[in-house]
Amino acid sequence: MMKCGNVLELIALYDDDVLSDEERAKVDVHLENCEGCREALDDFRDIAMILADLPPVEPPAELKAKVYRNLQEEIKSSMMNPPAAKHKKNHKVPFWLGSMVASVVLVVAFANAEGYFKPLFNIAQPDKLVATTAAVGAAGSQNQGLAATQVANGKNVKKTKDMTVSIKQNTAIDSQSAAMRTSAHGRQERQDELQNINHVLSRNGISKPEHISSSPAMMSADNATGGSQTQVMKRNTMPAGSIPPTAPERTVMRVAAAQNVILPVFTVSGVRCVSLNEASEALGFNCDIKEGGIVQPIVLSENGKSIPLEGTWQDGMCMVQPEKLADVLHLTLSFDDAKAVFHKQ
Amino acid sequence: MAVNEKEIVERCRAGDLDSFDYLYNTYAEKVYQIAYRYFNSPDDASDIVQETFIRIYKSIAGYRGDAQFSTWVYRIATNLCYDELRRRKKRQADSFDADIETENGSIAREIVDDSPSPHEKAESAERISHLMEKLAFLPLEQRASVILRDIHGYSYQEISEIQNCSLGTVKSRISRGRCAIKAMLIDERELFSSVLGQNAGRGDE
Repeated sequence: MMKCGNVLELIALYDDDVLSDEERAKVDVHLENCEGCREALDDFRDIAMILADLPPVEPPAELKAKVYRNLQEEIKSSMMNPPAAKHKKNHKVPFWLGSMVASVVLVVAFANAEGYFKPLFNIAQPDKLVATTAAVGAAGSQNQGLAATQVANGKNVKKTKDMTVSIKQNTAIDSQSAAMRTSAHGRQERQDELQNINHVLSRNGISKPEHISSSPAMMSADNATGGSQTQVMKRNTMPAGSIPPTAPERTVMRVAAAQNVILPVFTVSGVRCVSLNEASEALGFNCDIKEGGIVQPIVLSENGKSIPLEGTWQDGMCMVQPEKLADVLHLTLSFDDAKAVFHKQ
Repeated sequence: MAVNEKEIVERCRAGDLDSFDYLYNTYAEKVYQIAYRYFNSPDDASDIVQETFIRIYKSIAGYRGDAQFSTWVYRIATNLCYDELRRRKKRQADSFDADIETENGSIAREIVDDSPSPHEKAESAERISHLMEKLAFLPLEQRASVILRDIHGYSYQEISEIQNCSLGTVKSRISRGRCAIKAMLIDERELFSSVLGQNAGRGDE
């Protein structure tokens, strides 16, 4: 005869049809002889009934608008790499060697008393990034077929058919999608994406926002403070003067700062690497991608320092080796399945 | 007309915003409801929805179709709920009361807004809020399992996929979660009749 303490955990599951025949038989025998446990079964049923009958809750009416506006912010801020880019396994250029190396400078600042890495943010400058890509392209990559003239003065590179086509042959999607997803290009792609969002918003009866100001209260994110202002972490405000005035808005989206940060790993020419953009979002640092081999001075924040790191380009995305990243950020790295796991040391 | 969700997900992966919109319309409310039970707060639940869909947008490229899309979405949402609760728990750890003792060992108090929502009617409101209060005391994984099972009606298999654990683990979490809730309700004698006792006399089958 089972003791009440042991059988209680089985009684808790009695109605769920998950007990084995043997378990159920044991419970039934016990219940025949134990008033207390029969009452316990009643109790479990009471509780289940209340939980099952909870009135459904409806999201507030303006939730969708909030979510989409937030998304707009995200897209605006992800100037370096698109969120939904696929990663191709077959790429034509050997990236780790030779001319495709990009020099990535991490701007990392640890000013937070809580100890977990909560860097200050600087703003990546999309103009420079575009010029970088163009320069890299001009060096003769098959995938980045930009004309050399576009490199010229580091101007914004408009959406180019070449880039679209090169991505297209890799991923075989329609050109609109390609335009949305191609990375490291000027404002044109971003404009398109934003326009699409606006279409969706207005189709859903949501008007375009004057200015996006809502942010999740509990997430440590912040929103644009103005057209050309820099975005900073809520807790670590930087003096206004230390930020270059041409930097665009950026929403600092600190997605769930869990103890361990997990990033997908991709293999580029046999080397494990992670997407720099994903890493910067998840780990909370900012970076500035420079032309290959040339380090340009960056404006530093008060507490920040800049650390050079080598990256490489794949399908228009900048990839870095997780080992180097972990080293630079003073994190421990382990691999789980096909993921890189960063732990705080 | 049957909608092929797989196609929609693929198109969304390719960057098609209409597809993303469709997926939003399909899943946002469910995510809200799941999150709401964690925090008992419309604001927090809204934040979770926001965060979840940002994540979906950003990482849908990484969704490989090994789990159902819905499972993937709920997994993201519940993980975000966990993380936020953990974060709050950490912040409150110093200033808060002692743990509650139950048969299954002590469990710490979780941070939840337990004021009744406007949806709840007067009579059942008290019962419900007492019960939801207890839910807040469960360890996160148990709470998640009970919420998914008893409030939202997901199957054990679905829950094991959402929580990325074995069926046995789900069983154990649900069992212990329910036992803990019951123990807490028994402890509070004055509430005994308010929640329990509805099925009195029905006995076993």
